[in-house]
Amino acid sequence: MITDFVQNCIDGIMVGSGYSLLALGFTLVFGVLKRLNLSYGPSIMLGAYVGTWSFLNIADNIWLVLLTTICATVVIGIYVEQLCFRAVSKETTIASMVSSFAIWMQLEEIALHLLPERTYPFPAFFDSGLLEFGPFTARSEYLFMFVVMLLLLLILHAFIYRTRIGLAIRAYSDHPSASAYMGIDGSSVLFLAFIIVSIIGGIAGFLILSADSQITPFFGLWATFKGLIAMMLGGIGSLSGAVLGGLILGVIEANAFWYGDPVIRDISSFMLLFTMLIIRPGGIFGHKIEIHQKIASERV
Amino acid sequence: MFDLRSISKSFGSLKALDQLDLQLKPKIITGLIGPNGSGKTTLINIMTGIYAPDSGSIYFHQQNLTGESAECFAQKSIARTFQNIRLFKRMTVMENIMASLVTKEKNKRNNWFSYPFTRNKFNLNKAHEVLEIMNLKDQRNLFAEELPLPLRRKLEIARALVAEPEVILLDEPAGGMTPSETFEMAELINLHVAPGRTIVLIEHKMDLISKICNHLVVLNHGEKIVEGETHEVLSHKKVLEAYIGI
Repeated sequence: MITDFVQNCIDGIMVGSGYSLLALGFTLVFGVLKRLNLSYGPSIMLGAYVGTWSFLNIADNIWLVLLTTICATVVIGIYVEQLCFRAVSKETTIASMVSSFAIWMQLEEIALHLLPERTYPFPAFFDSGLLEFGPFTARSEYLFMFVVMLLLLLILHAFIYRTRIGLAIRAYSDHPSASAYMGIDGSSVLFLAFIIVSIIGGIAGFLILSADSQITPFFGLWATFKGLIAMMLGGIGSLSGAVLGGLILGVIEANAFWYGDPVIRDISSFMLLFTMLIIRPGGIFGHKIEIHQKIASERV
Repeated sequence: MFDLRSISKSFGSLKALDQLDLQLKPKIITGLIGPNGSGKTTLINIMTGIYAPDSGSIYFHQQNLTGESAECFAQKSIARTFQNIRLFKRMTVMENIMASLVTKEKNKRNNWFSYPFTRNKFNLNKAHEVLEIMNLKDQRNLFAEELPLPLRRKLEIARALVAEPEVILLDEPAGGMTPSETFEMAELINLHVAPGRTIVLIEHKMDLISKICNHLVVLNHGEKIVEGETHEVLSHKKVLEAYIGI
């Protein structure tokens, strides 16, 4: 019984590392822009479709697939940034959210025209293997994804908190108009944020799909749901929160699947989100930030 | 140095500034006073690129900056503080100050990926110096949102000061402060902010104005009604009319 539970948690953490990767991108865009980019998941999906297309039509080379997936996701990310966020006024949050939803539909259409079948194979990064740790097991491709996720978290953290450009991004994210008086160019910050987020998205899409070995047009919707739920659980705008949210979501889903039913798995993730929104609306880390700000405003 | 020619700005049917001319004299403190809604804040918003004027021109050292962005004004060595404080609340006091230097890196060896708190000793020393001057050294690791109001106002000035600007526009730097805190702020401006700089000060507290301003400009209904030496302007008939209706 306890062995099953621990194994479920290990499986959940492995799968959850993919959710964490998606949530990192969502939280970074939301943290910087304070606006929701609904087309992030579909951007990753279309990027991965271009990767699959190169696999089917150019060469059977996994590195080419990785490169084309990341590059295509970056190009789509720039397209989304120009159309939904740069062109739309900063004050109209709803307008940019709605336009990102419109882009979502557009990207799905493009994907269906690029590769009209419902399902396509996505090449595995390396041969799948089961690693044993005493009574427990983990799939090598998921373990690899977990390690990459931790590495990306460390790199992102260092980038945001230990570089001059990271300081500029944080200043813009905290107070865009005040950062303008420091000479920080908001447009460049946005552009850079979208490039970083798209690279993370490209890596996330490649690793998740390479572990699943297939891609469908529904991947965009799936990535949006999982990434958003993980971000909300961890706390919007927090890098560590995004990672923790993804891992918790994975663990809950794995246990719901094992002890309940495959249908329960998805319901459990939505129930978890609703419960969290009622008890701690700011998420695990966001709640702490909210209380901190409340105390500070009372002091003034 | 700062030359504003026939500046007009309207918001809908409200005329905030009407054909206003203003020449700032270098290295003196110019007070900008007037009743609420007289156009003071609109004027410094135009002088820092937040608003573009509807008509008229802005020259800084004979360079036309009309219609340029706030980033551009900041790069031209023009800094400001705000009536409604605009700090980076989720960043520490030290980070707030370093953020002001983020685009002013002079050492080409320090690229955008270098760590500003260890690689650039020159900027770091400047930041510590400003913290010392503004009595914020003990609070350097606190988040800006944890500071009480007087320290927040000091931090805004410190953030403007560290970039060593030629011009600083102070929008009600003593707003919400007690008389003793206002006195301390006046001392700080006189001793550490004003020397060698051109200052524009918006303030409602006449004791602060008369204590630190050499020159005074009075606005009413978006027009300049009087300009001159502080003591003369404060006793001018038009000023008394605008302020207390006599």
